[in-house]
Amino acid sequence: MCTFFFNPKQLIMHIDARELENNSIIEGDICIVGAGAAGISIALDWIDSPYKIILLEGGGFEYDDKVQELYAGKTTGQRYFPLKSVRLHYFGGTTGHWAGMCSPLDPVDFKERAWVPNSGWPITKKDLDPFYEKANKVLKLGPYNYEYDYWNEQLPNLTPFPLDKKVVWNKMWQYSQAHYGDLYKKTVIEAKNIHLYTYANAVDIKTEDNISKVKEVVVKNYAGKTHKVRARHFVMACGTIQNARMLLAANSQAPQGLGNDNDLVGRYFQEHLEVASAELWLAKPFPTDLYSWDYGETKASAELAISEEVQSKEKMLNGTASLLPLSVGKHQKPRMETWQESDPRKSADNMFANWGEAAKKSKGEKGNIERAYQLNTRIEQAPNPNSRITLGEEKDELGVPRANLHWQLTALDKYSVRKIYQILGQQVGVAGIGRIKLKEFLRDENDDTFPDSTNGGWHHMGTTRMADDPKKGVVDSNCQVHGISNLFIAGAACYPTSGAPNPTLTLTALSLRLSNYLKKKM
Amino acid sequence: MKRRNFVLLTGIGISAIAIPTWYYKYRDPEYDQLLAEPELLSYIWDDNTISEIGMLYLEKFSDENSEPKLIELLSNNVSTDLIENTEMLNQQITNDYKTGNTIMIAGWILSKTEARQCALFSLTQNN
Repeated sequence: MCTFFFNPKQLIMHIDARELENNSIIEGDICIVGAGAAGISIALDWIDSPYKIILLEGGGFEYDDKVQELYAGKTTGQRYFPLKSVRLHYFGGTTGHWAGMCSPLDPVDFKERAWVPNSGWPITKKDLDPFYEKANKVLKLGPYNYEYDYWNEQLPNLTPFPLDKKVVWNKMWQYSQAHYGDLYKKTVIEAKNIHLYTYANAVDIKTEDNISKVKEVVVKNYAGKTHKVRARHFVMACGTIQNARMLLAANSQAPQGLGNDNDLVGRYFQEHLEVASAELWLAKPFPTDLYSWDYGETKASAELAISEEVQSKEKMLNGTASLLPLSVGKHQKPRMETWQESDPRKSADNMFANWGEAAKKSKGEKGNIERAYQLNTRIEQAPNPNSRITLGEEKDELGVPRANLHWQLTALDKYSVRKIYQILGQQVGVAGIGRIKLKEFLRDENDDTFPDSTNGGWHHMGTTRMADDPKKGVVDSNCQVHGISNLFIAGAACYPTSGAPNPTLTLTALSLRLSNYLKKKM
Repeated sequence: MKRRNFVLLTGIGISAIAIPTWYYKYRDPEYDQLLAEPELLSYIWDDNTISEIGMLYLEKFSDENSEPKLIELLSNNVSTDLIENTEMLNQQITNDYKTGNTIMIAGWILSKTEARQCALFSLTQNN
């Protein structure tokens, strides 16, 4: 329904697009498609500006299974979660159930690395630093400081393992409790220049001027209503899979899809490999809170990371190892097993039930295992053009071809996971604090495959990668789609490489950088 | 040659070969027991696990499958002083990790020295 609240100071407006008259034309200065972490971060950045911002959300303010169904699609290749379950389709997006783990990418993540094909961003970490600082605020984190020494002064008992810092360093994390749906709903709907339309699913993008400019975005909903949104600039902020899907599906004027002259849209899909990989057995107790994380309690903690110099020497990807008491970890099932219901709520229930059971069983574990940890890898996936999103034959109920995912890992991915633990094994040995045991799947150096139990982090990146050269990327360094002057992509789809950290902090920073660029263009 | 001399000489000949062989192979060699006690691993594993890892090592390196051989390899650079022995073994183990003189057994990344200690331990258990 159209919600109008009038008071002398401001007009407060949220519009339910199901209630609009069919074939309405919605007009504004900027149209943001998608009200998740990227879209809302940008919208917030324009509050109190003289510009009219149209923020489109396909769902409402709560979970709606019919809307969620629009995300369903097929997967092939490496086993993956049901696509319907991996993002949330309502205001706030996937921040509705995220764990809040935040850490910036490392300088090396932006560099072209000779041993990582298709690596290199057209921007550096320094370019993003001012926006990381802003992103920390949007995400209600602490200061933009991810140095161990800083946090060691702020928090008690962060004693690090005595490892050689030139080889293994402590990568710090902060933890956000920001669920955008709850946190920013009031701010967004009360902002006089932000016009939020719920149940407004983008189904097509129409261009003009020989496909060099977007004219309008077509939106639909289950109420059978179709509307058109016109603006000076359009920002696609629907998530990595949906952004690629929308560009590919907008093929009435450009047969290959928008921005896809070089057959790059949808390619280079990347996930974070998050997999139990090894065990650390300490010889003696090592009391520290540095490597532990209690949801809702921990302000900052660390994971063990491999230095840039060693990555270069070993020609490996960037990744970290987090610690979980082995007494718990040994009873946890891989998330790729527990998260197989297409309804994300049921999958979440299964996963948490297993975690609860594991915590219960861990209480019976006594002896040396009390000094042992499961080491969980978190690592970037090598950019791979064959790991990709394509359009399926089947269409969703609003007439858009469904997204199919072919998730394909490479030998470099496997080598790099194994190498992390070979290095840690060596360093832990030098330090004399314990010993490392690799999981079975990493022991044979000739085996490049990953088991079906390999988890992704539900992190989707890379399908509209950034590059200065249109032959190498879909968007330029300002996230503008090459060749289309007023079409921009916000979010992790723009990452050429993914780094190890969860993507939300960086995608928020990148979105705010895009927002800053748009301000200069207005 | 008289029969008596023949028997005597033959006996001496056989003894000359057999006694050193027996002595070398089957005697209980005298060595510092610390060589068969991987100190750090004993905080992590029980005796059975140390022995099992030792046996897996010997399967990989069958040419080291004797106590004297392992003692020889482990005693290299190790003095006769007890305290010094422990320190020198630990130093050798640290050095193994620094130089990459490691081996993976059943997934464990171990120093070659401590893996040999496990092997020696397993032989002493089996004797």
